[in-house]
Amino acid sequence: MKGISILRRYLGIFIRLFKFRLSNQMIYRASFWTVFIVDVSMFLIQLAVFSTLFLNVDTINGWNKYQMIFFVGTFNIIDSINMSLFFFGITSIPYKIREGKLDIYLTRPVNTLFWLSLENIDVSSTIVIIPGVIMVSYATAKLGITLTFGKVAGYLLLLILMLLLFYSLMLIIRTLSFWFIKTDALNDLEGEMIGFSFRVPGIVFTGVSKLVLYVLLPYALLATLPTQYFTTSFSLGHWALALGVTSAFVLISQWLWRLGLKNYTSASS
Amino acid sequence: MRKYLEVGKISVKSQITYRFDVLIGCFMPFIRVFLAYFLWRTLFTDKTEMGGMTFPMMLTYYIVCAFIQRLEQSNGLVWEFAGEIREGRFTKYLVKPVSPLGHFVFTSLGKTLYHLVFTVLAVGCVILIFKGQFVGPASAGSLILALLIAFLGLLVMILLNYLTALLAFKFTDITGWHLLNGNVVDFLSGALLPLSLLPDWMQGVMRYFPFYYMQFLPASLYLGLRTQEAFFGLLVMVIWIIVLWGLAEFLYHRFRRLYEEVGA
Amino acid sequence: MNTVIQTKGLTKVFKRVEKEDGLKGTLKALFKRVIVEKTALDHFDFQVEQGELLGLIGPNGAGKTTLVKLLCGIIQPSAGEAQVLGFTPGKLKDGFRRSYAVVMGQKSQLWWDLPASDTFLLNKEIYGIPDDIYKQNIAYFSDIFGVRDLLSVPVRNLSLGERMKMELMAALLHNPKILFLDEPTIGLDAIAQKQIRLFLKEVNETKGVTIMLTSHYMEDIKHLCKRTVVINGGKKVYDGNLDALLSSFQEHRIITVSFECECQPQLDLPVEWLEKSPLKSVLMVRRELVKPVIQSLLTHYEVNDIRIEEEDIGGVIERIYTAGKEGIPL
Repeated sequence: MKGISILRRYLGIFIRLFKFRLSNQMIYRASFWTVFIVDVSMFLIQLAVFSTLFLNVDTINGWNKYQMIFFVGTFNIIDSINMSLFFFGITSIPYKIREGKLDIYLTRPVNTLFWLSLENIDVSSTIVIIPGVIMVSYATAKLGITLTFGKVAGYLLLLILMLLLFYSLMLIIRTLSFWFIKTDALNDLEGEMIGFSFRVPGIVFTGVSKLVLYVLLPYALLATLPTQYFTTSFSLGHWALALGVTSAFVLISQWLWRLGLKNYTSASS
Repeated sequence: MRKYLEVGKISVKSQITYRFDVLIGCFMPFIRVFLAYFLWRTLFTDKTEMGGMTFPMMLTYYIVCAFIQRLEQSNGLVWEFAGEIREGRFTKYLVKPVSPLGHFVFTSLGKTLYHLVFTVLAVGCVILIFKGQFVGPASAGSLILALLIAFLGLLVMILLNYLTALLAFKFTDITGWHLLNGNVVDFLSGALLPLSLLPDWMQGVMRYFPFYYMQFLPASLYLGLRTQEAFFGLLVMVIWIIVLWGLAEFLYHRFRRLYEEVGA
Repeated sequence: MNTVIQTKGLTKVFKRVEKEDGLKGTLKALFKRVIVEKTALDHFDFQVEQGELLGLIGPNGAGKTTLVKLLCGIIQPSAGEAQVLGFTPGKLKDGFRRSYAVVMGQKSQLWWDLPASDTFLLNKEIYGIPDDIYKQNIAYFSDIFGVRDLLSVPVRNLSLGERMKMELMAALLHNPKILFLDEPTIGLDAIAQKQIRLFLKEVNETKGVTIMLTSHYMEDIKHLCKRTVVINGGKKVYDGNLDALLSSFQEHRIITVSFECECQPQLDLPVEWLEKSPLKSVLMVRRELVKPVIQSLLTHYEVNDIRIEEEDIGGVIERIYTAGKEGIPL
């Protein structure tokens, strides 16, 4: 019973925050449209890179054009959910740490991260999920994959795992702001990794580079694993990888966050 | 002019406060080049040439691009500048005898100068790692032309970023604009893919825009490719710098009046 | 009586990087940096009983805000311990955070672009406030403040005073047991200050909320708090009745005399003339000299009126702080 009432309270807070953002975005319509344009431009650039590559080659490490379309579509779905749910919330954390704006969040009887992450929900970003779903469906048809319950459920489960992983990776970088005043370069680095794994599947990596980009900085897993599951074979080892890496990074990010809070100095602006 | 040199000097000094940031920044060329290495190694498995480049040339192309890209440091300044506008701290430019554009340009160049030291070291390491494949500059002349055009490209980028920052006068949140600017430039400048892979008609259009000359042409010149485009490139860049400069001054004076009316 | 706040040896040390001037110093900092420690709060012991309205005063950087933040759990102590309502604040337990509220004059919890009523609704969800209590409190507080019509106005269109009233409302909706206030009247005009003071008094008396207040304005403290803690350099230098403290530091009185006709008053006593015009004089004398001065004035001049006032409070406070710094027992 207690669990349900807590769940209901958090749902209530979520809905309230969502409504706030909606009315805020109506006030600042210009920023609503810019975010929309950014998302669409990201998508178009990704499409341009992808088509340029396939103008010059036929396969990428064994993946054909339709598998690549599926891959790009999957990334768009992941990124659209990321952008609409927690991207703007998480990216505002360093600013809040530096300017001492975390105080208000810390004094409320709510999980601080929950509130911080979901405070800047962005409605306009949900639209990019449409081309993502279209690409995934188109590629599924072209590849002649028959849909079964297991396929769809497994794919959705992997999407959720990869979103959790994405969230933790983003959070870890923002948490470092508790110790370092400026983390611009880390943001650049992150942008680089995400941008790359956005365009190129993880299967191009081998040896040490695979270890690095699958385990230490597992950005390459994000869209690769769901695509592999859906369009090629997926072993128990792959599941272990997905579950292991995700839970490790979730734990690390939570631990770092708690450690960081102990270091919070609440600068007065 | 002296006061702007002082602005640049302060910018160099303040960078040192952020040593963690500088250290992480040194990894950027590594990441860029390694990621490119793995992608192109796969793509070159059954090919010897793409877009007029062999695999070693392709790798060198990315190394040169990573070098140029690392020297562009006005990106982070956009946030600072926009923050100053939003929080009313911008007044300091109105009461002091400095132009905000001059301040912005020289702060960026100061950062560039500081990062140059570390970037040379980092890129030097990258070159050592790929010693076997790295291709040296085609000739002294092409190297000098490449550097010159890359420098003009840097100025255009600073101006574009300044214009992005100015948008903070009109929009409360410029995150979107800034991301847009970054994404589009990454693609159009050839940092993601050499533009020679694009269809010819696209390349033809791009030659009239400054992005083409930010990373793609300097890296191509370095490799001894497209040397006949260099002088046209110089002309295009100078024109763009004048146009953007004028636009920046015009918008600044327009927006400033908005700012004063609000009385922030 | 019930102790709600208790600290033992509470200490907070902040670390700061120091850099030498010049290019050489800058280069040195790249490899080795000097870390300077600043003790913001130094072995601070005190306790607060339930229902108290306690004032906390001290000069800038004395540690007032640090103390409040430690008690709210926003920052963690470097040493020592604090107990608030039986909780350790730094653990940030939900149960603890539900039982207090904090209002910081500099940091707003209201959503800038939305009406205050929206923030109230969010707080209703966050604190899980039942409908009836929520409605009751909204009605009660908006009546005292007279802000019923302003609830649906976007916060950015409210005046500073109105905004502070909304902040206080937002903080009190969940019936907290303790209310921490950090500079609640900063930048407000005299009328708004007075309203907020009356409101705090009312909340303290009728709702029994324990209030801990820091302020620059002595007027706030003077009107509200029976007990005052003076803090300086991170240490507690006085804890007790404010009036007693003030009177022991009130060394001077200000005397204003007006005369029947133009004259040039002269006195052999040590006085400081603040104003000397043909018909009126203002002078400052030590407390024990008030009687002889007045006697002398009355015997030698045609006095029309005499007014004796306490010395300006700012000067008194300055002396208290200096004494505190020099370790003189107050």
